[in-house]
Amino acid sequence: MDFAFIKTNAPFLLDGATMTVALALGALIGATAGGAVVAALTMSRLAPLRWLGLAFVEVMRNTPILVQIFVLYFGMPTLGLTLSAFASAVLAMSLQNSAYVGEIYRAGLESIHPRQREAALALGMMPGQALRTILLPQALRRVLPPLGNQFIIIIKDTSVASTIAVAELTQAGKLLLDRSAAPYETFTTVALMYLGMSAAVAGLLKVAEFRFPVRVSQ
Amino acid sequence: MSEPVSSEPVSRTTDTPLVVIDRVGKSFGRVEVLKDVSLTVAAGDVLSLIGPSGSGKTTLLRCVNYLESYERGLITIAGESVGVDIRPDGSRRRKADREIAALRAQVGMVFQHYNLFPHLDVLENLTVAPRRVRNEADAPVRERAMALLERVGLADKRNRYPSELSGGQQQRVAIARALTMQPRLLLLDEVTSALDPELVGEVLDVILSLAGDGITMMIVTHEMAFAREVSTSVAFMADGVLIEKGPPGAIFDAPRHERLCSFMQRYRSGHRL
Amino acid sequence: MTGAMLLSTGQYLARGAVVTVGLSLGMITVATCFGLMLAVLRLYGVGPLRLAAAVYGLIARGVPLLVLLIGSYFSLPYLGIDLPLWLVVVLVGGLYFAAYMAEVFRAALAAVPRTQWDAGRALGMRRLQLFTIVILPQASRLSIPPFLNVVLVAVKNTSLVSAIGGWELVAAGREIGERTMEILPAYLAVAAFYFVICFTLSQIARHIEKKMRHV
Repeated sequence: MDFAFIKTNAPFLLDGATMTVALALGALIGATAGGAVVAALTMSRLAPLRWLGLAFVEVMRNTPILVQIFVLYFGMPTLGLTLSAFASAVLAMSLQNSAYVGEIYRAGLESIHPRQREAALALGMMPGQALRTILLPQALRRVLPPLGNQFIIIIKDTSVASTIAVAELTQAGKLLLDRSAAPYETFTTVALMYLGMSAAVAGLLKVAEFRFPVRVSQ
Repeated sequence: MSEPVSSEPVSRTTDTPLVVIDRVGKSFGRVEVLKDVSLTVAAGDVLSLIGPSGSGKTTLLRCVNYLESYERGLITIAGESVGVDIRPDGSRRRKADREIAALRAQVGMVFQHYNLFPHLDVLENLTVAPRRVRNEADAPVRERAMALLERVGLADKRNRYPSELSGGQQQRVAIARALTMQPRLLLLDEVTSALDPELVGEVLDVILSLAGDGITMMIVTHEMAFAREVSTSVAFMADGVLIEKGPPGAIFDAPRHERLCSFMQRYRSGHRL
Repeated sequence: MTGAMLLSTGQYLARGAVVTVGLSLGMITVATCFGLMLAVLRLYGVGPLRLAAAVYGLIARGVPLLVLLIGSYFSLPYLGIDLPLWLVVVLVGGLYFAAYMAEVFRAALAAVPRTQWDAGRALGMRRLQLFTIVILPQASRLSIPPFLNVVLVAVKNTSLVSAIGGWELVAAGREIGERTMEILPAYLAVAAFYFVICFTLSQIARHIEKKMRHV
């Protein structure tokens, strides 16, 4: 094995990894906000809004991220809407993960027993106040683990952006491949870098779970 | 008691009752769970609601702070209607959330399953509502909360989380939480039903001492001996109907209505009600 | 587009979808066999094997499938192994999803009450007998909905095959888009094909889950 080759090209791969992190953070922020909208829709009291939310969730979950990226990047320009490759990838991943994150939020809120809301209302809280001070803080702790797992999936999904030539880690690996004859070394390194990022998130998650334990009474 | 719990001067002989329940009716679908129930509770009274499971006593209690809506009749607390406004033409309109919340802030409730907030420690469970609902300053609320924790014997647990307490301790915290809002009326819904038998006594002792201080209470309970000891009056309900109401002596020793008689008989022969 | 063109386009995409389904079935078969093995090793294996299975799971779940596909497809020839693309996809995808399947089976096996083992032992069954006759059938029932969820992810991930030059549904859509210059409709049609396959799978999973909750 020829890891000297890797050493000389390490900066190139690190640039790719930086782009991967940028993609993942962009999608994470988009999905965190979008997920709130999706949860608000799917839990709405108005049936049409609920259907809209559920339809969005089903479409996003039942089509591949690759196709969604292609629709945005190759399809949208035919409608006169041209997005950069980076923007297409972040937007597509934000949209798809909004569906997953929205369902995580919903499950988190629904896992809080209705008696908690009742107790808050009985103390004279307004419904919105009960949501903010009593329900959301409890739900947030419960959604932390699935949210962290979703972020790991997002990190891995960023590799799909290489199909539209975003210069992220997988794309960097492919380019090195064209320049050299060390595919085995290159992709072992790339794989280890992804593994490192996933492991870092998993580790942070463990710390967060320890710092903000889920407490249940009764 | 060292701390005034009710902000109102307590009087056992006011002419207008604090709570007036006037021909209240409610249905769940086709089932009529409350039929024309009328009751009054004067300030300082302790009213116990007894009756078999499914008699509607818990539903009635939950209507008093409008956790449960009702479709017929009217409940008023200190002259203010609960949950609905009745227009001059007789039509009903649900009050705004803000008005309903303001009323609930004056009515404390203790639940069968304690319903403490698991993410807050004991002291925060007591202070969250005065601070968030009434925007009270931190220091006086903490002081009041600590006095109440002292009173229910749990001052040393102030920094524990609910999950670290026994059921009886949690329920005592729940009582203190309700009192921190200085309610003019306290509703207690089967507060010992979820407790292990050996923990029931500590909770009932707290309630007895509150009654001694003249706090107005409505209590749904299956503990007959306790109801007899704590109450100024007892109401017996069955099938959504208020069957008989009177002083504890009359209800327990000289029941008139046939349903109450058979209920008492089963109770005395040791059936769990 | 004329009706005839629309029809032939549909047929072309359907052929792509058949390849997608075929690749998925291959992956799932490998993933199920290997995943069950990993789950058994993790639950009942001896120390080093148990550890190896756990490490395998962590690695496979921490690296993108696309990287594994590209890496193996380009590396294998250098190692003197020459396999057709579809076989690389089925093997690599299968081994990748085996890690997810292992989690599914592990949870299901662990969910069978311990008392079932006691009951089997009391009847004089041997360990392997007990596992295959008593434990496995109960666990497989429990694992159906999460199993189908992994299948769903696997079907969606076969789209990555187009990124290493394979021909399946996405590649078929790309060809149509390039030929007709109707790029957006072509990819939307591809999305619709995936939706039909995946939505059916997720509805089945949901249905079974609901039915099991009532039991």
